[in-house]
Amino acid sequence: MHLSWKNGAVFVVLTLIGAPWYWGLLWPDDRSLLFGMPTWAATAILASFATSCYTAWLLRTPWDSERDSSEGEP
Amino acid sequence: MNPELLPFNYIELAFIAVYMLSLVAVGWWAYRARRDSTLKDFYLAGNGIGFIALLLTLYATQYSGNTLFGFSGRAYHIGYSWAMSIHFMTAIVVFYLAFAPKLHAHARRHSFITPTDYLDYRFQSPAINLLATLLMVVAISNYLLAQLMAMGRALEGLTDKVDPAQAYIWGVLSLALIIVIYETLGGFRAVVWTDVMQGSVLLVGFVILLVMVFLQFGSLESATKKLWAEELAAKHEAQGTEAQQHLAAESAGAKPAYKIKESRVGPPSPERSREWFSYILAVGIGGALYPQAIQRIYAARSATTLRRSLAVMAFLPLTTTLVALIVGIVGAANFPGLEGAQSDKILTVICHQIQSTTLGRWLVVVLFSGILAAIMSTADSVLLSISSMLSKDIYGRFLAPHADQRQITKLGKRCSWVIISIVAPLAIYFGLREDTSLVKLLDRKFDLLLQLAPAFIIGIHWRRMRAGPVFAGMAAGLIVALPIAFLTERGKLYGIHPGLYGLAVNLLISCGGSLLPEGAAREGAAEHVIESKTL
Repeated sequence: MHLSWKNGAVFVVLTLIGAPWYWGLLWPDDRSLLFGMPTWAATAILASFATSCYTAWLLRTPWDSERDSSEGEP
Repeated sequence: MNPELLPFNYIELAFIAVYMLSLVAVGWWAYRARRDSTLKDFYLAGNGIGFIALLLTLYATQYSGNTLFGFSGRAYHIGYSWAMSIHFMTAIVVFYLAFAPKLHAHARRHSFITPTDYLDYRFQSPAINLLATLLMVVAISNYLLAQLMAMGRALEGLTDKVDPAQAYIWGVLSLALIIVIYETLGGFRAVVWTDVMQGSVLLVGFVILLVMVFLQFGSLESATKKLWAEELAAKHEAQGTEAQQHLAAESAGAKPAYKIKESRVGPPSPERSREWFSYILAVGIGGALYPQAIQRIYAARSATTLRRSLAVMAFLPLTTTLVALIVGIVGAANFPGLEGAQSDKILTVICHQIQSTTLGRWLVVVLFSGILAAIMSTADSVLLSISSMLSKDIYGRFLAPHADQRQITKLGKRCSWVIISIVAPLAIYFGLREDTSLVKLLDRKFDLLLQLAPAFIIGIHWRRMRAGPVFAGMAAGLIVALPIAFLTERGKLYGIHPGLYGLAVNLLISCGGSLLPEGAAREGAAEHVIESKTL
């Protein structure tokens, strides 16, 4: 269902982007702003939003137990 | 006037009092709505709860008073790095994906009431049942203590006419009494109905807070630029000082000892980044395994209801923890200088400023109701969960296996009163002494709850997982995690939660032990039993 290597990989990639461990290494003097906050923080929040969207997208699919319980229904 | 006080007038205090009493009325209606005296009716509201009720009770339970006070204080202290809070609250929903669908299906099929019911069904091991129950009770008892202390703290600043210590005591006692009354009257049904009220007030409170902060203090951009300018000025000053110290140290033949403070607007340091990942795993997994949250998975009326509620829950960190982050940042820009525990009062300081107009006063009253709602809704869920585990899992399973459901339900209600009678005086004692050392020592709930992960998250999918290794892994995880938690200075080792070290050992033993060849023969028999139960 939700447990698959593909889904796991998507969540890992989103987490690696969302936790900006790389920002200080790549752009140590960056002082740009996005949505009123430092760009690295906005990137982290956007990655979190993407995680929420992907989770909700996965949850649009009925679970096995829903299919089982609707088998006898007309 | 003290900016840490929010002096409400009598009309405003009466509004809060009416709101509190309405919760007791809801408890009475829930009592009238009961169908029978079964455990399922008292602890899971009979046939379960629908979409709106489930969503709001999950929301009100997951987001406590700590979200408003603690999270805004933390953002004030460490700045934008606290964006990690949005990640770890989202991670809770992500980890639900790993086990909630199957757990809900088993719970409906086998009428689970407590988290231990699942463990008993899956592993049939009294040792696992006992260890896991004690682990969960200890983990969330401290959570209850923290919520009661937060109730006292919330009320002590409401008036300048009463001594703060007295206000704290009355705050703890009165709110704890209200909770235990409506909870023992209506059980889970009362808790969910009050959660619907409290969750709604909390959501409105967060929106009001965001609007008030921007109206009063200007945009987020101006706050960020202000913080940046202050940090640059401090850095230049520090460099000047450092240069002087360097020259002085060189002439004295020693190393300069100046250290620049961590930036609130710059990207996280390597240690903070490790902490970020650690929080995502520790809170994501531990938060998904809160006993009160697991009972809400059981209580969902259908899988569709649960699935839709979780889909909405995935977005709620953006409406809640993000607001707390913004409040902390704006607070840091406008009210610098709060250190340590004082930074947790930044929300009160901001509300004090907003109270300057009549509209502002009433908005703060609604916001304050939301804060109380957040604290109480978490406390009532935790209290009900502890009473269910003590009465059903300890008394019903070990002490009186032949007790009927009516007896266990009755005992559960008495348990709630006994628990409150113990925890409320403790909250007063530690609150008045302003001694949080015990609370800090006990505040290892995620380190404890993480040790349940193999049994719940892996055990529900992997049929070969056996009781012996799971018990050994759980015990070893605790033995590894707790000394690290208590012996390290900041409760973490290299920025990583102790529970994660314990979980690594736990996984090695529980999964490795289940793969051992000598267990294969017995495992075959266990698989047969499990398959017959259509796991």
